[in-house]
Amino acid sequence: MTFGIFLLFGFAILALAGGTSNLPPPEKMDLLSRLAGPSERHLLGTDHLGRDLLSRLLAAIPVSLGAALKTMAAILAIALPWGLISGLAGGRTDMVMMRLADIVMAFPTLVLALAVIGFMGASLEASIIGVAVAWWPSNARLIRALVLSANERDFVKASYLAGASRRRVIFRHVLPQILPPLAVIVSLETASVLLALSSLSFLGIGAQPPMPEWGAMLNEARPFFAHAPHMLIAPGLAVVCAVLAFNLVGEGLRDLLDKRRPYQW
Amino acid sequence: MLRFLLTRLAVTVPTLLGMSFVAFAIVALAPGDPVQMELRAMGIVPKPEDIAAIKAAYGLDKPFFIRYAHWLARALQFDFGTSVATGRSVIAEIGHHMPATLMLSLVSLVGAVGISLALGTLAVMADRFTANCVRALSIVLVSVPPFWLALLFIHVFVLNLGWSRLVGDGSAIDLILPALTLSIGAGAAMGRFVYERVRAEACEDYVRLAIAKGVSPFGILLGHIGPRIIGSMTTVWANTLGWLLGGAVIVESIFSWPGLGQLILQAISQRDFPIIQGYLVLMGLVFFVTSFLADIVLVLADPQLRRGLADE
Amino acid sequence: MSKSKILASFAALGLLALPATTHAVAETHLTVAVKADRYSVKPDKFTFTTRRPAAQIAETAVKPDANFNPSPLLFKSWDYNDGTYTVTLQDGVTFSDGTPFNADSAIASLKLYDQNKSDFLQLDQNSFKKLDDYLISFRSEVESALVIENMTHRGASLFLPTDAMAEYPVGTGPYILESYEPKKQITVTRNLNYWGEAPKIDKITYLFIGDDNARLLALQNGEVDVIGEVTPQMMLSMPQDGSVVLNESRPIRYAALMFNMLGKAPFDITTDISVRQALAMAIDRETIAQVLYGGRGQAAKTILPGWMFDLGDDHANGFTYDPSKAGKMLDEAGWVVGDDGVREKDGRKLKLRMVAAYPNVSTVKPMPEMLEQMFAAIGVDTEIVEVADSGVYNDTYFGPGQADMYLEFASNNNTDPTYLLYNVFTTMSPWGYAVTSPGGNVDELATASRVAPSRKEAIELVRQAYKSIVDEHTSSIPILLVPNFTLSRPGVSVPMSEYADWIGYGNVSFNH
Repeated sequence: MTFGIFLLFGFAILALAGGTSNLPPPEKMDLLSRLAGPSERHLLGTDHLGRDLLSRLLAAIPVSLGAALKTMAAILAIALPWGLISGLAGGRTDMVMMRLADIVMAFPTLVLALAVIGFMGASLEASIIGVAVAWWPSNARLIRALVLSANERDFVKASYLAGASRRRVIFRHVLPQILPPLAVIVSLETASVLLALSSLSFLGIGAQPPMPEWGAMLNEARPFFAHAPHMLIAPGLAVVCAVLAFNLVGEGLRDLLDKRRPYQW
Repeated sequence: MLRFLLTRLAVTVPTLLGMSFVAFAIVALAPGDPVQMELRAMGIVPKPEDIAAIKAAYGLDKPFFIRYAHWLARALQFDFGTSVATGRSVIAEIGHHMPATLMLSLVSLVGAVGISLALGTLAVMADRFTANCVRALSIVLVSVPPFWLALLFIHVFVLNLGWSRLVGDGSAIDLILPALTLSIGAGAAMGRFVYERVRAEACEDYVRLAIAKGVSPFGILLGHIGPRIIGSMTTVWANTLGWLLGGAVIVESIFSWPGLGQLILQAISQRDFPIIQGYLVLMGLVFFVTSFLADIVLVLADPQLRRGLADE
Repeated sequence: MSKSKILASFAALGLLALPATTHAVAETHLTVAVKADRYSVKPDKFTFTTRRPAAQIAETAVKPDANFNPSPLLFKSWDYNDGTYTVTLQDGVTFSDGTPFNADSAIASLKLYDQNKSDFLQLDQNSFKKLDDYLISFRSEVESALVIENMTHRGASLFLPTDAMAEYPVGTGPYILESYEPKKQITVTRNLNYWGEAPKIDKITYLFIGDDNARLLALQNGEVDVIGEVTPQMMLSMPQDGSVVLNESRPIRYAALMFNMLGKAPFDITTDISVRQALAMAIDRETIAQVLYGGRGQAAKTILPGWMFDLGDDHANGFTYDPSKAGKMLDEAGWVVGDDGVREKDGRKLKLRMVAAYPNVSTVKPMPEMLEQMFAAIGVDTEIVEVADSGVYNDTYFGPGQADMYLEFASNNNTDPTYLLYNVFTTMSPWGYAVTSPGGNVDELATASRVAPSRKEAIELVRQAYKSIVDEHTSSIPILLVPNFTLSRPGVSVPMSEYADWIGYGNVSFNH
């Protein structure tokens, strides 16, 4: 977990450093030094248009991570109210809402996102919407499960019995209970969303050039990977580290929250 | 048991209907007039009567819900029309590509299950240091984008070592790299789940009892914990199979594996609407069949549920 | 080692051991990797085995010669008089199932065209007449004088009408269908009873590999002999050590930037001709040519190459790279450089949307990024939209006019000189190109060229029209002229053609 937070901070600092450093601008082409390997002038080498890879990699941090966070926010904006209402209302409302979520869940996430983007036209915004549309139901289900188990707790039942208003119970007792596990879910899901977005960019239907974005950089690197593997490795590792960071934070939070200890043999 | 099956099926029907509606609507409401596209593809100057004729041929002159009803009536007989791009029936197109994807998915699933059990149990049973290493490894493997892994594999095994070829004829050897790529990601993700479940069970009192009785660790794992988690494991396997069937799009395209992923990628880019609809319905069906089977296993594996059903 | 390689090496050994006049003893088997399977078996737009790659089963009535004039194939000679075409058929030709090719079967085949609705081959169905066993006549429904020219298009291949056309098409060509697995492969074998000169290769397998990168790797890895549909990215990443051989034709395709001439806000900036001409002068074509096609493209002055129809290299003046003049033109048009380096006029930024590309972005990549930088240098901000398929291109951006500029990569791919002009550069375009057409005199020239009494006069009108499009209206900016390419493994050379559909894979030679 510490390592995960460290990584995230590292990305933030690097993103800031990228803006203030004296690296060449990420879109600047130097057609004389195309596909150059790492050197003193270009620490990570250059791409097929002679653009500095380090500069592009750093400029991509806010784009790639920002897109993942925006997508996660969009997912939560649908999934949180959906799961809460479904879990608290119960009965027929619950059933209908969950069936509706099931309908969307039945389709493969990536293909549904692809179809949505296909009809909107490729752009980073379209891929954010596409992923959010395909992704929210599974999170709505998770949130509903959290709400159900929170609702079952004795003190929640007790405050209902004590005549507390529904709104008061929700905000005072239910929400605070589901927030910690929700933080775990958000962190782990952000990791997966980041992977999904980079897959879409890799297919060339996410971020549009010349915008630097890790998945798009990998897409550009692909034709050259046989003899310029440096183009592929740096952005790939950046994606791995970012996904890893969110995963580690999520796992770490889970361990922190989990008070049970297994019996050792 | 029969009653359980019937209720479960009855619940599924409205969802299936809803799913077919989404599959129909997402395509029918997409921008881009299929009539205009058809005319442009044929290279003819549209006259109003041409447009009307094609609209009638596609049934597009009717209201949306009537079109849905017609479409559904045919879909129930597995008739999704003909592919706009190739002129063959949608079912034939899907039939051509299904076996390759099915084979890839099943092999990958077996690989993933193996990897997940190995990683999961190792993380629980090994000493603290090894366990942490295994957990760290699983998290790293989960974090690697599959398409990147695929490219690394090609670089190492195809280009440098020459152990494998890129364009196969769909035989077993050609399956290894794509299946491995898919297994690793899915296996690591499931491994985390195995770890979670085993660890949760290991906190229960019955495990303490077993330890006190002197049952060996493997005995506890297989005899006590295994039966308890097999139900939820099946659900995960079923979901993973669904994910592999639908999620292999990119890996299929990188390894030129002639499966459904390639078909749907091409269909989306060519706006081959009948294929997209047929594919979406098929994937929905696969999802429901696998989760239905998983539910049955869940019931059979859980003594309490099984008894409850028998008492009815 | 793949099967094809083994066979090929046997064949090569055979060729070495025997004098060139005799046939090789072992079977020659060529494996070609091409992009997507685009065949359709729909009766009203039947393209199965007509277009590339496997255009070897059916033949067209006439074929293009080196100067892009129609030359005899199944039609031995023809005559056009008072709207009637009189044609002498090639004798001694049979379809691969043994049916003789004569006046009856030729008319039956030609009647299939009507189903395959093409705006350029509207033959009058009731006009077919059998004059003799090998002599027929027909008329055009639209009084076109260019029917024969349009028959050089592979789409106009002549099939024997049979019920099983969708599974087993029968033609008169040098090959017959052996097997076809949709989106996987199609294999053709030599037609032993072929009427013409026998091809060199016994069997050709075309593998459909949609992914550009996978195609190139398959070639480098020795899994295929030849790859078609070569993208500029492939040529950039192609190993230069001789392990991959490049085959090229004369330049034929154009990469051009077409402007939205009917643009409504916010896509109305380029309706001002000085903006269009400034952009035309901002493009450093030589640099693009060097980067994009390994130096094999040519900086373009106009849309069609000079050799084609003897149009001449200077049939338009075109534009040279002159960023300072471009800047001045924009200044004069009222677009002044703002604080962020982007020009402004009345508080509006000079920001343009460029859609790349028709037919898909991989045919021109990384040209869009390079253009973006060149335009940025004169203070124009460009938003690039990459599209991977012509469906999105047409429906989302082109048809509705939702962009300022459209990057296109296309060619005049038949021997009719008016074909591209009429379809892509006039407001009468059946494909919706009114969006980017200047109209007026260009429409008039194009219309006149289609009914010109002689080919020579038609070509002169076409020449004037292209000059007007580029120099006078600048509704399209030519950027590059590009050859057709294929890549092959060492020792394999492919006889190229400017028409991708006419590349003679059957006559590929294995050298050693």
